Amino acid sequence: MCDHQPTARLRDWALAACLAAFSVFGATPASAADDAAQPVAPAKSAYSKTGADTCLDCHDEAAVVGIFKTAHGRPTNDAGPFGHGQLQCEACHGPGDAHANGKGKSRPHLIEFGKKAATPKSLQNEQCLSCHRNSAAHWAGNAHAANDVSCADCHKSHQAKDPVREVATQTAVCSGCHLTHAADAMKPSHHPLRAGKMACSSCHSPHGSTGPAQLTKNSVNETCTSCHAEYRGPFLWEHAPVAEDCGNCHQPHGSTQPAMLKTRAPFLCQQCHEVQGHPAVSYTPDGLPGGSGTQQGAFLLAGSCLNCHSKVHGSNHPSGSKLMR
Amino acid sequence: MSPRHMIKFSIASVLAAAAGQARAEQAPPPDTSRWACSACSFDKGYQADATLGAFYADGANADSGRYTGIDSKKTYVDAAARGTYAGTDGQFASYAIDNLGLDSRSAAIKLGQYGHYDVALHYDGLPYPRYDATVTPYSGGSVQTLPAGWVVAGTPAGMTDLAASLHKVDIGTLRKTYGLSGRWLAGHGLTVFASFDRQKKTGSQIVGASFLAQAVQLAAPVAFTTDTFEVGVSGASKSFSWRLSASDAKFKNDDPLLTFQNPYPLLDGLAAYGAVSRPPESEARSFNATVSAALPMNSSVSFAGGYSKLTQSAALLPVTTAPGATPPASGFDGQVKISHFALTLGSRPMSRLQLHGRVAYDDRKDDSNALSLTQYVTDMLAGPTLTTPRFNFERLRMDGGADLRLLHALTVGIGGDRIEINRTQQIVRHTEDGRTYGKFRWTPRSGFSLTLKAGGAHREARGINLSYLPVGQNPLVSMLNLANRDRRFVDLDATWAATDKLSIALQGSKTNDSYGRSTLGLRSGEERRAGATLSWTPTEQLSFYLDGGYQARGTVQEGGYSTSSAAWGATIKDKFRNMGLGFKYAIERWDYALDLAHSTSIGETSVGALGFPAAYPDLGATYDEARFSLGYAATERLTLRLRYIYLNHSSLDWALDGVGPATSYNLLALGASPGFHNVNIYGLSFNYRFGASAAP
Repeated sequence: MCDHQPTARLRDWALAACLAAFSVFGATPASAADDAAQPVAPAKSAYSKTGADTCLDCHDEAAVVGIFKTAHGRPTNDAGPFGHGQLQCEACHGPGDAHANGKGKSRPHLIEFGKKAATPKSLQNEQCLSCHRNSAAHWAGNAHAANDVSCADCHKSHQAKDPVREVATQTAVCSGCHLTHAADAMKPSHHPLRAGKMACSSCHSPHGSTGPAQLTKNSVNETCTSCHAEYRGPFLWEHAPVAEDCGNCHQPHGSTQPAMLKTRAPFLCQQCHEVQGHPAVSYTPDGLPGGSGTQQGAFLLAGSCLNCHSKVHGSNHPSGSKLMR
Repeated sequence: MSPRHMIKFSIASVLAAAAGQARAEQAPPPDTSRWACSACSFDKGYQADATLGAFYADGANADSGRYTGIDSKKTYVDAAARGTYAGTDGQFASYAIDNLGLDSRSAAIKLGQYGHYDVALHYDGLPYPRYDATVTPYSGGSVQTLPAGWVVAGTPAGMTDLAASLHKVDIGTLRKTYGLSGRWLAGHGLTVFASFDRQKKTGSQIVGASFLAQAVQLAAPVAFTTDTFEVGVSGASKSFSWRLSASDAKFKNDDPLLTFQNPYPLLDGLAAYGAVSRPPESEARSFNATVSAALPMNSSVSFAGGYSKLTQSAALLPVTTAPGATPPASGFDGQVKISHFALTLGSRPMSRLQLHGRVAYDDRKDDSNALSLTQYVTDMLAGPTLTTPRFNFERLRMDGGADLRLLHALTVGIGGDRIEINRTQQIVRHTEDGRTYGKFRWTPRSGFSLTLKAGGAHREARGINLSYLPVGQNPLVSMLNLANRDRRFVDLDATWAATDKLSIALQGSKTNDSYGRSTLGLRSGEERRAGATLSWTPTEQLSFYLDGGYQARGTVQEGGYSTSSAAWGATIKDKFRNMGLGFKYAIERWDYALDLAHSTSIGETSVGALGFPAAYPDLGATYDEARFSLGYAATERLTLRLRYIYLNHSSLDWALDGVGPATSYNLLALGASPGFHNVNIYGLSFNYRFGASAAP
């Protein structure tokens, strides 16, 4: 081991130092003390004597009993927490005997849910995932999990209609964190999220996915063409950046430019096309109505490049090599 | 101890510590025989509510009707209904009907038995009116003709019949989606599912067409239908889940070709008609499989595999519009095969550490038959014979990261991602795009989180193949998605749930792009964003919110004929601001709600010879929105509601402002104007609740 090259030795020492530091700081079992500034795990307890009846003795407010209007609160749903033989409130909130019989400040916490909850988010999520494994197959490793988002940060399981599961109200929930994307929906060119005709989950899978940006489909193009199938192809004459990624030209969250483009034509097109002739021309304001360069009209005004090259997504005409036909 | 031994020892200690971190012991399962749930107010029977009323939309036009269907100055029926039924044996049903008096109407019905099956039907209308003041001299659908006796001219201004021939044509589409889906919960975590969607889009859209450099805008008919069918099965156990599905999506277009009469002079031997292809019929078949498993040490792994085949077998179109013209080949056997594989790992081996990583591979293989086709430039001139290029690419994405809680309130993280793309038949064969970042998160108290993330990215284009450079293309141009790029970015996120009643969130980011190694095309880009929101719910009856945002982005690009230097430059800056505020208040029988929103965007464009930029007029758009609602619960079941909505949109767009059919030297335009509306909506409606008990 003494014949290590200097760089290899340095690397080994750096790794060793990292791992040693990690062992000190990281390899400590979880404990309540760890979480002094963090949420705390609930204390160990037995289950209550009479289940939900014990809980509802105190917690009879509308925000709690709303659960009986949800799929979770159906006695006929054997798979749900109130189904036959299930653990009712304690299925999610954990054994509650100590909580029910505690007094004052010494009353131990149950498993609580939400942003201000005392329970660590990882434990909150474990409770949900213990049943909802199927709908969260890609939860681990997705951006929400990596950023410590809990299921209850988005879901309101005691509300008759969980806002995040309704197309009309979901955007407002997502906007609580994704502020800039919410603002994008107010730009002149946008998808119909604010109109309640589309939800973030129309394209994104908040529980994780195998596609980029947690898209519901395997790729950007597959996601876009699930609604915009007319651009799917294959075409006789294809436009390579279109086949590769719709996001090369479009901003799907909204744009100040028409058709959710990143930049309008002709400048967007000229970021790639500098063919001698009209693509390489400097289109100045002289081409505007009343200007001295009126012959630039078709190249600049109305649809600009698309006045002639209207088949930018692909052409199916035998003479469509220039995407004009 | 040698470093290598220390590494092994450290790894062993980490693993041992992690393995020892067993979950808190579960309490033994209770005897639930006495858990009667007698205090549980289970929902049962039938409950419904229906809304009926009317509203008058003063000043509505196509621009205001986008997505809503409120596109005319008239009175609309305001009708909606929803209801639920819960049976004693687990059967349930629900329905929801919204916007019945508008093209944006939707309806959904769902019924089933909890834990056994459910079936759902839905309908959704999505109106997208664009322009209602556009005009054209053309008549017809897929064959558009000019009025008899049309006098051709070299410019629209010289077309003497134009003014008298113009007639109004609406531009816009209506998308109707019909769907049927069902699930059967077969037990033991097994679910079988199937769905069918039919999406019909009808109306018209603007299509540009040309004869050489003389163009026309046409109102092309739209008659698209997409049928999507999916079937699959999934299963789940405590630590394992899987899903298999197959889908088929068929796209049909009633009008694969748009033919139009030439309004310009018919030069020697040139065509009287031109033609533009429309989207061809196509089909996409996909198979997807995913498996996910929970691993020891709070870890899980998932794998996904997908295969899609896109096909197009539409008959080839005739080469020209000349009578008797035939397709140049017997057919186009369009086939694109797309594969997707992804492996994802997430792990929280200890409370302080979180790891995630993913590798995804995409392969697009275009097996369509390459055809060599003579190009008839705008139906007039036989040009070169070209072979249809088929673009293939492989894309490998890798990303990963680790977050370690160093101190009680401080978490640090590192991560990165890398994308590698290999292409065929393109100028850039290989692209590598790598991004790395570091971040720290400060959580001094429950409900407060501040995250700062900063990093850089580098995109490298390799394997330049000039043989795919289009004839006349400047080889120095850095193409949008293919150029070398260096990026620096920083993101800030802060959330503070100060109390149960007050929460604040802030978000900001800055990104700088440099394309410094390119001579032409994009040279630099910059974006700055900020957003903030505050929500306050002082009582159950009263809530407020306030939000706002800002964005500034800009790009610099250069161009020119010369292969040695740029001749001109373009600087584009877009700014966007938005703000919203509102409240809800309920007292006794009354409820009030007010929402105000405002947004402004400005686009500054300067183009000209290097050092002598000329400024375009600013692009601009302003939206103002005010929504006020006043409700009065006349009885436990009957509520009256008054609504007032103000919608204002104004915009400036130099590409459209003042551009009528005859304005341009070489474009017979439709005369579309920048978006504008100023709408006042007054509404009165009654809502009645039916059923065993009034819904809360």
